[in-house]
Amino acid sequence: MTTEQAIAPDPVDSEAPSRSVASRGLDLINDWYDSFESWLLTDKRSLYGASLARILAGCSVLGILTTNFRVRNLLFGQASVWNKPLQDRGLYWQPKLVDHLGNTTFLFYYLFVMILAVLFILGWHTRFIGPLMLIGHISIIERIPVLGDQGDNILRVGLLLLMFMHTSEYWSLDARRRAATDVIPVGGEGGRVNLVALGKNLWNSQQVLPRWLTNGLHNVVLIALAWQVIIIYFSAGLFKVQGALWQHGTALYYPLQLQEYKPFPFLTDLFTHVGVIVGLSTYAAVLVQIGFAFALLHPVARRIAIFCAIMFHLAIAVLMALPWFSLSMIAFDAIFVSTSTFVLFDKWIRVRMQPVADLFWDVADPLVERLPAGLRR
Amino acid sequence: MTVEQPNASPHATAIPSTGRKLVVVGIGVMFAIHTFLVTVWVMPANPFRDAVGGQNLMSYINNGILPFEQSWSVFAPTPRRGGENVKVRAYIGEPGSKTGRVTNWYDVTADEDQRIKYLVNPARIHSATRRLGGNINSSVAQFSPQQRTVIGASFITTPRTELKKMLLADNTKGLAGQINIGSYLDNDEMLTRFGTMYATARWGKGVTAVEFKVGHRSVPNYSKRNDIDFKDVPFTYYDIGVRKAIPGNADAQAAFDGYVRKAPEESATKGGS
Repeated sequence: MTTEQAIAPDPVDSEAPSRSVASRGLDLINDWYDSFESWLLTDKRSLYGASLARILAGCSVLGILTTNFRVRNLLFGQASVWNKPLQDRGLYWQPKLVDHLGNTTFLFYYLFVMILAVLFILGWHTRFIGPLMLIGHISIIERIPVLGDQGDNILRVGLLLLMFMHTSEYWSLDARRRAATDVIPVGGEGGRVNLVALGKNLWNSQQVLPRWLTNGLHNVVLIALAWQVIIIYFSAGLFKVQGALWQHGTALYYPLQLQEYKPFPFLTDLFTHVGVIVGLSTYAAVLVQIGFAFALLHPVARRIAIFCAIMFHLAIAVLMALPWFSLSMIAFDAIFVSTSTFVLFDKWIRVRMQPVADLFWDVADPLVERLPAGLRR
Repeated sequence: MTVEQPNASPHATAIPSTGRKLVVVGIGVMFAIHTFLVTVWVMPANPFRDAVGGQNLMSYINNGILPFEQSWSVFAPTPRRGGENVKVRAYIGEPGSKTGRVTNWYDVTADEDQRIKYLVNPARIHSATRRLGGNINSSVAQFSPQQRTVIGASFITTPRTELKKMLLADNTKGLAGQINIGSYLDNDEMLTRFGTMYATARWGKGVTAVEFKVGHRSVPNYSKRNDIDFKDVPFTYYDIGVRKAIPGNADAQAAFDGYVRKAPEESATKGGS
């Protein structure tokens, strides 16, 4: 082969060498823009993750309310007057809703919010139930700011964002109702909107607003929620690396000695007895939090990061007696799990749970048949 | 291995027109600004916070309508390494009078400890005195000896506003000192309210004043973790003087009555002072 032949342009790609780096760079940016535009506007993303986030966040709300049910009046009812100085300067308006409720009325209110949480988990009219549950939850929990914790923060902030997302696509009664009904056209004569049809579509959890708008909104808020979770991990990690005890790898030992974070003394002592375990766990906690955002950029690293984050929170739940904080964090971590993983999981669980589901519907269907027609959905 | 894919999406749609895209972009910009402000708020002190303005940021995050408040300095930079303890005793009848009596000290936090043992999901009320005691310890640790003497004094007939005036008169730390005093007064009042209803539930009606000891102990150093048990470390107590009782209404008291263990018959000091 001669030198001339070697440097001669490939006839098939004769224009390639003439294109500048800048031009190719612009093409790349253009491709990225097209991909992002398509991702953002043409469909709703991470619907499995959003559905699981709904279920787990609802479980957190229900768990907090159930855990504190027996002492509800001391914490959130009339007896919560003991934290009046902070109540008076509360950050939220919702607690004023229950300000004047006596113990009996407050019991019914409390039960009502618990029922809302159950309905939210089941995905029953999620669009209406979700905001009601969020308001109800804040109105109760924020009655006692002095005993609040970080779990309240993530649950409140995450649920608020979930309200703008489509969270009932899977594993919900809304999905069942949608499949059993059709969208009723709302365009009436003369361009008027048929409000009755609109109301029925709303009740049936069918599409009401145009898809381009709901897709865009869902995806924008999905990004906001993802960023929210990322900055939680990242900022928590940044605060930790500033501390000498975290740098020395001994930080986890200290809070684990406190009574409130030591529900099972034997388990904790086992954990803290060996220095290497304390050191590894302390550094792993910092590493997972700082590195979470970066790990999301690679499919394998993302799976490892999500697994580590879930394990990290399960350990906090058991060792430190903070189950609802942990569950809330896991709920919102779920949006990072890929759809293909969820599809696999969905198939796996459906096969194994089929007998239970059959039993449930065998019991539930005859009962539902006895309900008035309007309530069957 | 084949990658599982979902069925065709019912939400799929074509790329919308430019006008519609702009609507979505508008929503995106709104959420981007919100997200930026939240990011600046939760991060450690940074130049962006200075650029936005601390007060502006606070008024956005704590807007009173939408719940944006959050903080993620969990156990950091310094993890919690101190345990708290609160003891209470009550004055039944007029303190110092012949008909009045004072109860024995009761360790409220020890009772809470008993209730949370082996519980992976404890109710929040079991952290009440621990949290209040921790807040008070943090404040008192920053007080001068004169201020510590003031909080140890009795405020039964003297209004609580005098306590504030006296603490402020001894303040030598400027604005930070004022904020610390404000925090102390809030927690002092909360502890008094809590203690009043708690004491009434434990020792019966007629509680006119309550008195507290608030203790603190530190977790032994890491290097001594296998030698010293944290529970064997003694508490160091601050004395919080006698405070006039602040009772709750009947519903509030009923809630405490259902929670607090009744005191066994005990010998009380007559006319305790």
